[in-house]
Amino acid sequence: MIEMKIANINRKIKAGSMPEALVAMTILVVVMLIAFSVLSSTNNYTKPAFKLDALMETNLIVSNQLGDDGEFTGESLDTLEIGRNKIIRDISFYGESEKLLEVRLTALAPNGLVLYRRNLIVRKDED
Amino acid sequence: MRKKLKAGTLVYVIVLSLIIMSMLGLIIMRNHYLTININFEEERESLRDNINSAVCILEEDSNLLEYDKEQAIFEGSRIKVTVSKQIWGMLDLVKIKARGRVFCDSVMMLSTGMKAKEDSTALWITDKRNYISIGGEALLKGKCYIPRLGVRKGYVEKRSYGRDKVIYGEVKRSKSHLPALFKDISQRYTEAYKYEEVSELESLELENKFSAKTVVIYSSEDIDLTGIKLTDNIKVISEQRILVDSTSRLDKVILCAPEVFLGEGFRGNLQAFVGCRMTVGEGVHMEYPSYVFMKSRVGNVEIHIEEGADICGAVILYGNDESVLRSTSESVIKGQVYVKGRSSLQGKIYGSAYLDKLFFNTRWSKYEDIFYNTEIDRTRLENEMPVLNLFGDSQKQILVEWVN
Repeated sequence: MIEMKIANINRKIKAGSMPEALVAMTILVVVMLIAFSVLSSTNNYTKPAFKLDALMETNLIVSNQLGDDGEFTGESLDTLEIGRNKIIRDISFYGESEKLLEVRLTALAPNGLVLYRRNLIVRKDED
Repeated sequence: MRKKLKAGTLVYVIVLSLIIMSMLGLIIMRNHYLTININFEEERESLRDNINSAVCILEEDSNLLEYDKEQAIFEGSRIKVTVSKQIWGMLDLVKIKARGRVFCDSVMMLSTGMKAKEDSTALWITDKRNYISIGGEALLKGKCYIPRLGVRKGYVEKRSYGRDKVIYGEVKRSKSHLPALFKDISQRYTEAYKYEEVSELESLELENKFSAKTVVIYSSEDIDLTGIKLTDNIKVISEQRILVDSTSRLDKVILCAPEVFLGEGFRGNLQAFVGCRMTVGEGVHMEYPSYVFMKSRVGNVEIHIEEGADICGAVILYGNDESVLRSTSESVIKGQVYVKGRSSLQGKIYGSAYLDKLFFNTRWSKYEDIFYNTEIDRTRLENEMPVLNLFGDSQKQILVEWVN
């Protein structure tokens, strides 16, 4: 039955068109692969594993590393390397208040891509 | 020489290509949804951060966040935060709502005006151009504002004062009148009695979340809460008396009546706004945050705290020269006491006491301006405990507890 159908197609399509069809299909697959790799390199398609790491790391920093700012008098900017990611920690006073600190954490992937930003306000004397 | 392929091969090519494309599509879709989920998680976390930040701001200076106005806490942030506030007895019910692109999140908290560390006063006793006697096992510990004539050791009930010093702490001069109560505090008494519609209590248990409309149980007669369990956003208002006993279960409830009677052994958390008589029975345990507020300009009014009872929160008596706060031995008030009237204190106050006039009566004798067996110890109140902003010194919203 299948052979009959193929024979039918063989009759309808010129045998000479086959290489062109193969080339077209190969080009389509290659285009899809390129599209996939391009999408993967943009922010929205960042590798989730990195992003999850960064989320956990910023949580760690927020909970464990804000207690030593008793002497904080102005702005502070430092970079922490944790695992594969870098976390930029930028701390300044929040608005006019001298008792509230605004903490901006930016997690960077190894290739420098911004994975995650996190902003929060804490009290200066909080530990 | 060009080798010709069979046209039928095209079918296999198409099928193979479709399989490859489907696999690639599935991989892209999987990554896409995983990323979306992480982005959602990220937004949820940002919402939570914004809410926690809002709490932090409110605890520092509530003026920094405007109420009922959508505003971004962080510059350029897509997350907008709104804060709204309503009165719940002596506390404020603050609702913080954060709205992101996809989700929104909200929390509600009961808050008060300041932390105990902002008021280091142990005792303020109005200067009536007299001196204060101290006798028995009395103890005054912390910063004390006393009359110009000071505090002297007394001989009461055939016993002399047994300690070395009369005051263990800083001594300052008081004035001829009590510090005026913050207008906001005194208005709360009137607010507590306000209601829109009344509900019937149809079962022995009632829970009403703070996100819902307040349930008001009203009667022009006595209300007996024996064996009844009431939780959260509920007001009980009586024109006569409210009776509570050890079988009653009350949590965050407001009671308003001319007379409130808390029977022996009751344990719970409530705010009582009372007209003329409040009895806190033996062994009653009013858990934090509990408040007793009596306001009366006329007649003979009294708050009576019986033996072994304890109140964690505040007791305010705003009356006249005939109004009386009476606490018996072994009773404890942890928090604040403000009495515009007369006080006979034999129990303990762990916190701050603002008192107008003192007395102590026995079967045979009457004493004026005396602390007998009274213990006022400011050092036994935790500095981080949220307390009432009695005198309007602060512009904060200090979290007391999260509610639903």
